Amino acid sequence: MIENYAGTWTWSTLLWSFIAFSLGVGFTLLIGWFREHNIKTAWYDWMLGLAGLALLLYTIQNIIGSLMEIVPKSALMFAMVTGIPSLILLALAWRLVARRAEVT
Amino acid sequence: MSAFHSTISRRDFMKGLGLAGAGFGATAAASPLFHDLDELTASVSDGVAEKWPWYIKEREYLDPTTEIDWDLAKRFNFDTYSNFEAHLTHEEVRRRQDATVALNLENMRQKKLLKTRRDQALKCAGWAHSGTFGDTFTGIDSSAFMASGEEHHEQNWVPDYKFIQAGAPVWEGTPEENARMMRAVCRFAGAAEVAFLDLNEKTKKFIYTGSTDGVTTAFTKELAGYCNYVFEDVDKPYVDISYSPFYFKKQVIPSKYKHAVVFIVREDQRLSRRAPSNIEGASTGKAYQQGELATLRLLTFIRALGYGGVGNGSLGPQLKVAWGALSGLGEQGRLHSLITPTVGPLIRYSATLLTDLPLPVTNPIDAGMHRFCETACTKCADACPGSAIPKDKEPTWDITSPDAAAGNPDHLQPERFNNPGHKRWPLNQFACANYWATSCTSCAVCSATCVFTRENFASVHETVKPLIAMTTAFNGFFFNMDKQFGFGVMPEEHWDDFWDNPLAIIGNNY
Repeated sequence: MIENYAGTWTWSTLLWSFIAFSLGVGFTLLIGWFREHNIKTAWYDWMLGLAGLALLLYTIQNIIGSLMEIVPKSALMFAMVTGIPSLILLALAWRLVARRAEVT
Repeated sequence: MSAFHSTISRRDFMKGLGLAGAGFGATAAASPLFHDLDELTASVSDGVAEKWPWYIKEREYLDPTTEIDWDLAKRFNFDTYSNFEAHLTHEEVRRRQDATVALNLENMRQKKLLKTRRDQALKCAGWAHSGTFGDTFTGIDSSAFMASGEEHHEQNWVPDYKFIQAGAPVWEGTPEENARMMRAVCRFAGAAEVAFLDLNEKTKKFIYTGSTDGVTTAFTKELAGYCNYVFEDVDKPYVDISYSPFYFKKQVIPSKYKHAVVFIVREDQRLSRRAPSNIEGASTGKAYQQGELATLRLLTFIRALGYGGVGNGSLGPQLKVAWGALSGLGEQGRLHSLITPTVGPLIRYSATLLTDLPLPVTNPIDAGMHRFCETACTKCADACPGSAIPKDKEPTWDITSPDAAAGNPDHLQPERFNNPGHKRWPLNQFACANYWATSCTSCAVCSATCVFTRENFASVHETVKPLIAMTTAFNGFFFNMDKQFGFGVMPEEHWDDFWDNPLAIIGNNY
């Protein structure tokens, strides 16, 4: 995955640009959806969600980095050791918000 | 209804699409682009032609963009080539060259931008190699720096040493300015990290008394030296080959060379992780060459600046790990090598130049690496195929035992490779070298497997390193995780990729 030609649009640049764009669009839609459906969120919902997101991004970066360093086992380990917990945190945050929305 | 709507009908839109498509097809047919996907694929990934960006087109064989008349073209006699002297009289050549030297001196005196003596010295360093690599001890290179008499090169450029003959002002800077300057030149010359130290009664203990070419005394039982390093009150370093009736020689270091530039010579990590193998061996050899080339360039620079220096090729006179650790380029680890904060021990060596150029000193560092070896890690020792690295938890003041059996010596003489006086894990260098010799490789398994030998793509390394530096609480955990995650020597299924994936172009220094 290391290009011999170090142009501007490397795979890494493209990927992280896509991730950044997706996050921007995603947050915009999410907050809009919360307002439209009058869903209330608490500060710890956001804390959990952001922690999960940060851990997910850390996982993605280290998976890609491990593959670039030609340590494929490390990529798999990151997916399990930090990737699964990140998904759990995100799921937990989503469940908290959903449960509060059901109650109200 | 939406506030935004198009005034174009569906019919017109489809017509537009068709026109655009036809135009695109016509353009594609007219230009020498790829006619099909097979051609496209062959052009960008056949592994023969260079992998150019997509917009670069391939032409026919022997048909460059410069038109050639093959009937008119013929072989050119380069022996009679001249772009300067043949077009002038001898007197005019001399006049113009004298004017060039005078202009050069004036630029230096006026300290014109990028035309100072420092800049001129850098130019000398860039041209240092020309023909021979010269001598990495004295830095003498016949083609770039010999000054003899008044002869002029009958070519357009004036030899760089002429400005020294003509009395150019010696470069003067504060030690700190000189240090910044040397770091810039070291990077240019092919070095990595740079540090500085001084030569005093303590650090002098890490200069060899003598050295060997590795062959002459290989089969002698006595502790005989091929050459001896001595300090004398002389102006310039020199080599005296008449030192003894035999072929011993002395290499003289002027006593006034009290400052040292210590620099790291790296090697290609990606190749060196294929350990042990011939590809790793190639990387090792290339890095030694790189170190000698860097040394020659730096010595040329220092001399062109108006100072003097002696270098350190791969065989001495300075103990590499000692100078590297004392000056703050890294810490000595279990594997006996210098472990650097950036690339771990996967360097070739830390070289030292002794000089009279005023320089400051930089202090040793503590990044928790030596402590990591002591408290938690035996990865290099576990991986060493020659069983040359001790697995004892704590370092010792002792040297390798003469009874050590690794490598099956006939009569181990550890005093020939272990120097007492510092606390470390004494490397059984016979066992190490024996594996090199019997495996037909340069091994480097220890360096490749070390937990600090990491490339800089995965961000986890920059998370772990600070924690190791700050506390030993997680050392055991990190050691185990390093093993579980598979970091270390590159998986063998990727070793052969080298031949299909050329190295990235990374510039002239690495």
